[in-house]
Amino acid sequence: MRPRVRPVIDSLVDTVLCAELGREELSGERFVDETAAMLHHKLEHMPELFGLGMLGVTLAFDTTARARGGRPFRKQDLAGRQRCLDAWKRSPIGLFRSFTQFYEKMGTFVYYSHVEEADAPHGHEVS
Amino acid sequence: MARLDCDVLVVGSGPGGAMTSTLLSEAGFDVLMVEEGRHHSVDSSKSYTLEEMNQKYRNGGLTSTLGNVNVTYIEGKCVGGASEINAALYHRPLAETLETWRRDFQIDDFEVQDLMDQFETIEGELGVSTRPMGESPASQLFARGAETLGWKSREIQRFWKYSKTPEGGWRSRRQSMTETLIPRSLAAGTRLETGVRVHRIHFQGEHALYAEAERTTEDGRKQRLRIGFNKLFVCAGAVQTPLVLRRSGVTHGVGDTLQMHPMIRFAARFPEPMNDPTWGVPVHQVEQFKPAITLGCSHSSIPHVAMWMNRLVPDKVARLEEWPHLGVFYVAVAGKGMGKVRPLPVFKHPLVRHPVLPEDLNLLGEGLSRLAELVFAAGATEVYSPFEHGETITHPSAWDDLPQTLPSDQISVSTIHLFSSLPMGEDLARCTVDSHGKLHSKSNVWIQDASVLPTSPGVNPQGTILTLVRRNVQRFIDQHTG
Ligand SMILES: Cc1cc2nc3c(=O)[nH]c(=O)nc-3n(C[C@H](O)[C@H](O)[C@H](O)COP(=O)(O)OP(=O)(O)OC[C@H]3O[C@@H](n4cnc5c(N)ncnc54)[C@H](O)[C@@H]3O)c2cc1C
Repeated sequence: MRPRVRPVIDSLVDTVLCAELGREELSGERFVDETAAMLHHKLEHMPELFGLGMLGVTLAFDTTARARGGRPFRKQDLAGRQRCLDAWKRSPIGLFRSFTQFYEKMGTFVYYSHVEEADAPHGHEVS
Repeated sequence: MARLDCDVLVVGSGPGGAMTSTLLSEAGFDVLMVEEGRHHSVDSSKSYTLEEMNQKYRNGGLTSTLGNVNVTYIEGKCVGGASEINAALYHRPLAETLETWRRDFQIDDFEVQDLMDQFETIEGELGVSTRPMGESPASQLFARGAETLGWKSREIQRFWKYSKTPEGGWRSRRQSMTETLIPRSLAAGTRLETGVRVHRIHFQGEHALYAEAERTTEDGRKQRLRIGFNKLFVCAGAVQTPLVLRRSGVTHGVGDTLQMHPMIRFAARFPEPMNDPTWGVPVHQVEQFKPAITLGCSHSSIPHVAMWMNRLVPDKVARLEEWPHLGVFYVAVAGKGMGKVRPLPVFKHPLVRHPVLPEDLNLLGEGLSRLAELVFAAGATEVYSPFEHGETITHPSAWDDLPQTLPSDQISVSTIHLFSSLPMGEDLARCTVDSHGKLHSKSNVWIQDASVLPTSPGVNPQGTILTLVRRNVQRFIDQHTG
């Protein structure tokens, strides 16, 4: 499952960060790969029920995006990907909403964690 | 299979396990404490960062209940348990709460005055204090908002130690278990094995015989262990303790009543800079609506603020560039929902089902509406909606009817306070352990952690856990020594 899921995570992170940063594309942007790698790591360290579920749903999301944009999610342009994410975000199905929430919230948190560490390694209160 | 033997086995080294092993070792017992996580010093990572989550949180901090509203919960997995990652806010619960526990759960020898004496001892032994250098700008702002509204609020004491530096500044250190009880416990003779996870306990009738465990070495190798003991103290926390017991076939009333303090956060913007991470977590809380509702300020570094601003925030990037003007705030409620902890075949992690009751959702809605009132009274110009599709608000009246209209399908609820999965007392219909933590159904097994709190303490729980465990273990020592 791992090699198949990573490209989907990469495009999910790309989509989320484009929306987050108000950009059309992220070439040259720092920490995008690091963010995707960390989300992958997080998925692998979740409790099995959620981790496996989330990996499965990530693949299903990629495949079912064909119905909306004629191609898997990871092969669509940014506008198409954003439409797919938005549809799941507004879905009546809780699992779909949890899925988008995970990528949006964790993607944002992880990205800004890297930015903060690089740009402002100012003291948090020690301990 | 490798073997370890001891008189007393303590499973888990959080506040419950650390207190248990310290008192028992100091009383002369031969104690082995096993901890699934590793030993990291309290300042080995910065608080509330990704690095800390990966190092000290169970599952990197991504664990959730299943229910009408899924609640993300955090557990520590390291020597010292969640005391190593928490804000160390310290409270005594209300005397009425303790009195209700005594009456409703039929807890023997549970006099409020005796318990208050125990609280005082804990405060002295671990060290609780307010900030000698005064409150942070965010706390001062929060206090100002509460004062404008005429609400009772105060700076909360913490398990924290401050000392002056030669340059005249302040050095501060969290009084977590690795800074306090763990060194004391080790000095008194406790043997500590880290990277050891207890899977199940083997019984003969009512008597626990040995624990089956697995050691993971630093380089990832696994080794099966059999740990023999005469007496067993399970202190693995409110979720893991019932998991270990259920896996071991002890099921009656175990993990059926897990309770929590559900919490929702939002971010707000102020005209003046008020956020400075060097101050750490702002420690001011509104007391006016306790124990049902607690309002407070949260850690507000950029990643946390960014996470609590949804996609509808206009010009989010520009706003984040002015992060010193942004802060995160929370509402936590004393939830009444009772969850169930169940092992799953094959999987290591349990299934935790938990309902957030309509009355708890109402309280969360009421809390959010009051919190917005407070931050606007403190001068906020914008409150960023915690709802997935919620617009930024600029006046508190926008949330006046939230108690009735909270969109439960759009909220992110989390918790850091879990307890009551094995309530203590003599009422056999409700209590799995007796008035001092012994499992009713077994002769040599005691539970000493957050699980034994009968219900929500309505305040940050660590002080109450330490106090109850201290009381219970002292009774054990009195009964088992000459
Ligand atoms: C982020 C955060 C902030 C918090 N802030 C505050 C606060 O400001 N004030 C406050 O009062 N409370 C706070 N709390 C809550 C408080 O930290 C907990 O209530 C308290 O630590 C619970 O103590 P415990 O001994 O029951 O369990 P834990 O602290 O959870 O310790 C249990 C230990 O047992 C180990 N363990 C579990 N299963 C096994 C096993 N099978 N084998 C071996 N070892 C095992 C775990 O790894 C863990 O180290 C906070 C909690 C968190 C997560």
